[in-house]
Amino acid sequence: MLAAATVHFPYMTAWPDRAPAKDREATMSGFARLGRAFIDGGIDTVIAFTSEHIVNLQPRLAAPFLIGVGESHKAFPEPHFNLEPVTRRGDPELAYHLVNGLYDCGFDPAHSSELLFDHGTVLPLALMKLPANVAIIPIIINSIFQPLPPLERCRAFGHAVKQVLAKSSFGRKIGFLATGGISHTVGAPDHELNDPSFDKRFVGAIARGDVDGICRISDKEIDTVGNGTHEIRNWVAVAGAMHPRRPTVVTELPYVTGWNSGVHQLLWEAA
Amino acid sequence: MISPTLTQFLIDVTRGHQVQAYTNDREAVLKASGLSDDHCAAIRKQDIGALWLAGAHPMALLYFARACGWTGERYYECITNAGLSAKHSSNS
Repeated sequence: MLAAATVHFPYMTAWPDRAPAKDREATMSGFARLGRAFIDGGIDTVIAFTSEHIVNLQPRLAAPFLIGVGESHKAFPEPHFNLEPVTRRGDPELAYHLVNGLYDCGFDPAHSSELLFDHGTVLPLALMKLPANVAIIPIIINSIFQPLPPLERCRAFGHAVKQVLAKSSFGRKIGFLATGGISHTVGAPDHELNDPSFDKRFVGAIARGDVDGICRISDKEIDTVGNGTHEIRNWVAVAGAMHPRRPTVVTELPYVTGWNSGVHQLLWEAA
Repeated sequence: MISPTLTQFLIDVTRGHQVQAYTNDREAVLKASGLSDDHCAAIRKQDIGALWLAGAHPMALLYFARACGWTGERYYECITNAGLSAKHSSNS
């Protein structure tokens, strides 16, 4: 099985020219490498562990894990991020199988037939240039409305997803994609700063396969490096699914001027 | 501490089911909201600093400020100043 993890900062498409050319090129080259790996690997369905930004989840209803089971997934329009609101194909047969299988594993994910994508999912799919025939099953992990699912629970959830898919008989070639993070702040002071030391520690731990160490990071510490950092839950879920395999670091830019963030991308190549 | 009620209201009127109703008759939507008088006053005045201190979720508040025509720079300056003022008040 193949997996990738990437940030999804919308500045990358909203203001590509604000970043230095070498950083921009490294970022786009990283997305291209992730995309090529999925395409060359003949991936039929991408399980996208993703975040969203108040499009599906709200205080009124914020499930810890939400699986998109629709025939297709529309995109919430975000023209200010220079993103086309592309509708992507879903994989309801496998998605419902996944929901039922997770029930058997002791998880109770919510499911939605009308889940909407936003830049958290649209951006990486677009920049990876995944063709329209590749189906997407989005799994939104709540990273915005407290209380959030603990990191350890996200790891176990990712592992359970892998277990369910490994036992399925649908014959799909599956790829995992984690999007979000790493340290950043949205809507709060210091939004222009990421924390390169946190990012380095986090990515380093995943690259070493030290998922235990990652799961010891407290929500309090995550809060101190920025509210958007909670999106690392998606990376933790994929790391849990792929453990003990270790990823290759594809892109590691501690801080990109103009995008006000670090750019990090990982790839667990096909075994 | 995030206020779920205030946050939900801001979401409803910026990207939820109350967008049109709020545009057409702000007072009616506010009256039916169940929000406190202080919160309603801050919303009427687009007092982003007060809403920040009242516990609006940062992302929802950013969307509300944008819907009110605020730039990102103005928004971030306002909440930063509001936080500093509140800290100063609590220390004095």
